[in-house]
Amino acid sequence: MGYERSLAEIVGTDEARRWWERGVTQRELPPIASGAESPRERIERLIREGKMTREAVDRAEYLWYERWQRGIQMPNGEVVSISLDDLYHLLVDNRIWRKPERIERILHGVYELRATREGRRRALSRWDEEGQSLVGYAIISGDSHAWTMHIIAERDLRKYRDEELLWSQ
Amino acid sequence: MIWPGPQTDVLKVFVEPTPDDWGTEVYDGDIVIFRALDSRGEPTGEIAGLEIVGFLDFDRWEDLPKLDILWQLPGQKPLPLDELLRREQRRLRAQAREVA
Repeated sequence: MGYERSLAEIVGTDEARRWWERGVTQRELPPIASGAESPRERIERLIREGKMTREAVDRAEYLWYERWQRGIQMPNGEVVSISLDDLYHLLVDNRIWRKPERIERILHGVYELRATREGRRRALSRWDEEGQSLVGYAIISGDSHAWTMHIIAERDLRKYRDEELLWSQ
Repeated sequence: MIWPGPQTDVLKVFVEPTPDDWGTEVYDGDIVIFRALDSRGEPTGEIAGLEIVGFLDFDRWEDLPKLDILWQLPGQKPLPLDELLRREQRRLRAQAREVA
């Protein structure tokens, strides 16, 4: 970790000055990111580090084999494909891997589809869980693959108001 | 850093060690920021990472969140976010061309 080193010690005085001029400081020196990993590699590493449980991943894989490998239907009738690689990518989100059923809940709870870029769509979703109303979204590619999913705060929904509405329940 | 490939062009970059609990804050249509959550599940100011959808074609570098921290991949020098992402985009574009 580099939190206690100065910026100049790490990158050299000249480069540090250039960054300072751009407003970059060593106030929070760098989070040391791991190298590039595949979603599966990250999951395996987090399990080794005790930050994710094997049981949760097994549960998600079970759900995929039993219910999701042929896709999950949204309320507009469209079936969203989720490959096993897609599943591992979705599980990287800690609020998904802890409750993998949320993958299905998000897609079943879609109430609006909005246009994003390059033919992709944002599927906005709302569902109830243990007495709580949750909101989230999935990004659906032009060929109906789930690229990413997130649970978000209700207040963040307004940030998508300007996206073109394609379908509404 | 996670990039599944051109078929799922979504880049995720994480702070390591990543906080155990983090939530998603919408930044704009293509970018979300991951923030550590407190014991009540509310987001704190601590950055856990970020995600960019459509990374290979992303060019709105001036729209990146101003996080005022440096990012470092193993064996490489720390960089401001835009510099690191521009470099990684060049690398991943080359990788995508090879796959194609």
